Amino acid sequence: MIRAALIGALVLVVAGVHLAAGSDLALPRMAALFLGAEPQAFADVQFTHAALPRLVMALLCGAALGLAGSLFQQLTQNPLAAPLTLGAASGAWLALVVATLLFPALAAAHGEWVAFAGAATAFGLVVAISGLRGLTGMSAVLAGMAVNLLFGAIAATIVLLQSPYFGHLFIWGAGDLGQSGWDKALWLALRLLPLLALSLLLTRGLALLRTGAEGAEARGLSLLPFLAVAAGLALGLTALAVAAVGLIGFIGLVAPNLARFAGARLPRAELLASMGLGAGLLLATDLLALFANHLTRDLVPSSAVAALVGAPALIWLMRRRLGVGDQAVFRLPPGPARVPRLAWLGLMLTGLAFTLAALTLGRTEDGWQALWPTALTFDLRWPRVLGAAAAGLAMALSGVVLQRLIRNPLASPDILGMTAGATVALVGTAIIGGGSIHEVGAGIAIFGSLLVLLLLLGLGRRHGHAPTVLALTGIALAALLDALVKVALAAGSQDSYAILGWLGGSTYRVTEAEAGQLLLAALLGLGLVLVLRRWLTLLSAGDDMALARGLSLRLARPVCLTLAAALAALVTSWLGPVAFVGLLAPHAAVMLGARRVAAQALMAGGIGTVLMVGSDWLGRMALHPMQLPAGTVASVLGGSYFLYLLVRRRVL
Amino acid sequence: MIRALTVLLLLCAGLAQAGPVTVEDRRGAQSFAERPERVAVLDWALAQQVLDLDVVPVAVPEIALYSEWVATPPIPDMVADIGRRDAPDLERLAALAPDVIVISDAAPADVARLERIAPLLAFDAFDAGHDNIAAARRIYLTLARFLDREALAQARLAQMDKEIDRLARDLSDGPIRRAAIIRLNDASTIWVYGDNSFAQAALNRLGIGNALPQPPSRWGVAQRPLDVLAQVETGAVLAIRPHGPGAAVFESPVWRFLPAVAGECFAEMPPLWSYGGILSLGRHAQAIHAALIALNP
Repeated sequence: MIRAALIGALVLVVAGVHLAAGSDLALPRMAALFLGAEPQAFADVQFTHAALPRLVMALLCGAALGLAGSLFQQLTQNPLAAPLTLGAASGAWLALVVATLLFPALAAAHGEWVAFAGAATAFGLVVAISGLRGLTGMSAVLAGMAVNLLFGAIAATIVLLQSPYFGHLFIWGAGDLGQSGWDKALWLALRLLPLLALSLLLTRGLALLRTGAEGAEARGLSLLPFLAVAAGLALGLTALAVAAVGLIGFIGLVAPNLARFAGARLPRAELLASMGLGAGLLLATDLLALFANHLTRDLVPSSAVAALVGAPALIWLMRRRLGVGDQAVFRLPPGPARVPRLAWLGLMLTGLAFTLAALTLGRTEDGWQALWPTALTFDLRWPRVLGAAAAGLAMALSGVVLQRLIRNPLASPDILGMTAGATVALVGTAIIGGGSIHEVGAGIAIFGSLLVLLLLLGLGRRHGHAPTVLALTGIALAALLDALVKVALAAGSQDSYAILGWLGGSTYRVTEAEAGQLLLAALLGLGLVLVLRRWLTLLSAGDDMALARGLSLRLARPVCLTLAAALAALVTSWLGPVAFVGLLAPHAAVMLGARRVAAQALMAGGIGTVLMVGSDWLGRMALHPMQLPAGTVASVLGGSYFLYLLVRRRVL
Repeated sequence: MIRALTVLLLLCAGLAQAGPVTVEDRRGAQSFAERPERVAVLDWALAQQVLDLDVVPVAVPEIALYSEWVATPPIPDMVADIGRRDAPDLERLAALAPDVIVISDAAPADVARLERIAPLLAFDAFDAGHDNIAAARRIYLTLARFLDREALAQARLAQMDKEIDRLARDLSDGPIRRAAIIRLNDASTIWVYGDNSFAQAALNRLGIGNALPQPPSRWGVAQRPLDVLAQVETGAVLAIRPHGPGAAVFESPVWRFLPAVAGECFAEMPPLWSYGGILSLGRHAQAIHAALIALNP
């Protein structure tokens, strides 16, 4: 009771400061307007129709996200479940982006249903990947992040092709709480209130659920309908928040954890406290955004501030909560025990065929053309083909190393934040330095990637670099860095055009020399992986096994991590972020039977190469003369195929 | 006598056209064996500059979006679309066999790659450290000399300057002395044009103050929350179309209570490219003049 009063008082104080920061009026005038005085000057209307609705919007969205997070976490018994980490929020966002551009009337009239369909689809995918049981653990979160990556790539492509500049979708996609009337706040309130009330009816079921599925059923809970209703509510809350203000992460993740930390134990208390804390948290972060807007030339979106505050909060929570003894063992996905000869042959032939097609098959104004290229065309094509191939190889290797190290088949440089580290370093340097993103250079990228790595190592030390902690810290860092990029882009106005193109991960600007260097680096990486294969085998078998065989974890872990980070950073600096190749290639290699480190590295490298060369070619041809970045095409192709495989085989 | 001189001059001109040309771009003097016929432009600012010289380029990027956002001068149907502005399709560009590629604000690596396709002119058009409008004028005149349209260019510039002066005189005793030039972004954010933008330059020339001055920047524009428009208490707010999702603000009470809107000092302007060629200055001035006259006939 005292805690509830405390939370309430805190929210009230923050609300007061928020109003003072958002309006120029003196307190008595505010009070008069609040009590119904007629607005006279603009400052009055600004208070009643911009500052107040913004406050209400922050409270409502925060409450919705906090409640959604609490429902997800109580349903899954997973303290890391949230609208963001389970993919629901980005699903809602992608659905809205697509609908806004393709069916604007539908999006305007029924945005919440579009968002709900998107959120449900994304969550459905995550459940299908991890299985209902998997929802309680890491694999659900990693699957959710994979879904986030895929959907983010698709949305970025749509934005890239549709806008003269990206102001609108950036701010919206980045989630801003700015209001210019009560329409949206009322719209949200009307839809939110029934859902809030319904959620509170679920407390008995949630309490039964804590006794375990069997126990709950034994006491008369019809499990599946209950789960469906509760998940539907959480998804509905997420969809409403996204439809109202765009993507705002972390509130739904942090609020329920804070609630439990503050001592909320019973389901009902946890739901209510999460709601209150979510509202207060979003309000507080929005307050920071308001202050930031006074200082910067361009607008700072609320969601970026939320992530900047939320990500460190998540890391802090994790460090307090997670136990030391995480001895997860790497389980390979199912597949044949050895690689059939035919598979090697097939991979080589496919690689050759793709390379040949990429060099000879092109589109002109008159249609398709299969010709041995002229000297000039050849010079334009080969660095791209070679760059794509080398990038595919390097990312695949980075993935092989990380998956063994983190002992999770869903680990990869993009999901763990290494690509994001390099990206932030490059974008930050380009924006602060005012130069072109293409000229910043590999050194900066490696610096950024290694910085993330050092953070990971430093933060993970307490837990003996336990894989789960590393993975979660990496995810939080990736989200933090992603928010930084969004702020930088929001502040960059027209320059964001070039940067957005680069964010797709394109071979467009790879020169001959760079392609050669990248290939050398990738081959060197391959050599190192083959040399270090015993370490990687032992590391993936678990710490006890590795120690028993005399492996120095203190040496082996940092060396392998550095190798993975450097490979990812090199690719990022020359092509831009390339997602999914590092996730898909090692996985597909295992499914083809490459179960030992050496075979997996070779097979994954080959698959990564083929995937990137094919994606680069497709990106050049698909919407000719518009050039799609290879990284985006690879994400969409690889990501969809990966999800399909995961759903079919439930490999985790 | 005069006839003879004219013939002589024309002959000289003809000779000059056939001979080699030297032109100054950001890298220094560039020599061409002969005057180019087929010009490819890789951004919209240069597309405007070249079209404003009555030269039809062989290639322009993202023509559909150009028609929506830049609009004038229109691009004839026969011009080829070469894809994205930041990543034009080099193979299609090469297939068009341009005599020269004109590009602005390109990275040196891009310049080097494009030079393999055709000789190239690279300009610095937009930069926080220089006057964008003076640069646009320089680039226009350079291109005019290069494409043998110098007389036309001088005439167009003189005509534009004269027209702007006339518009300024026309506005000189008008009641509206200050205006903010904006684009609507969404229901609660806008773009505001300030120093180093065509909008600001046009306001200066018209003798109208900027009601929302912004510090100079590369593109002369800043993204701000909608309520900064409340600072425009005695002046007009002029929004450049198309509004896109920004049209949502028209429904909002905050919008209706903005001093400029409540005082009927808000007007829309047709599509103007704020990052365009030098004649964009005249187009801005005309649109601002027309809007201000419409507000106060």
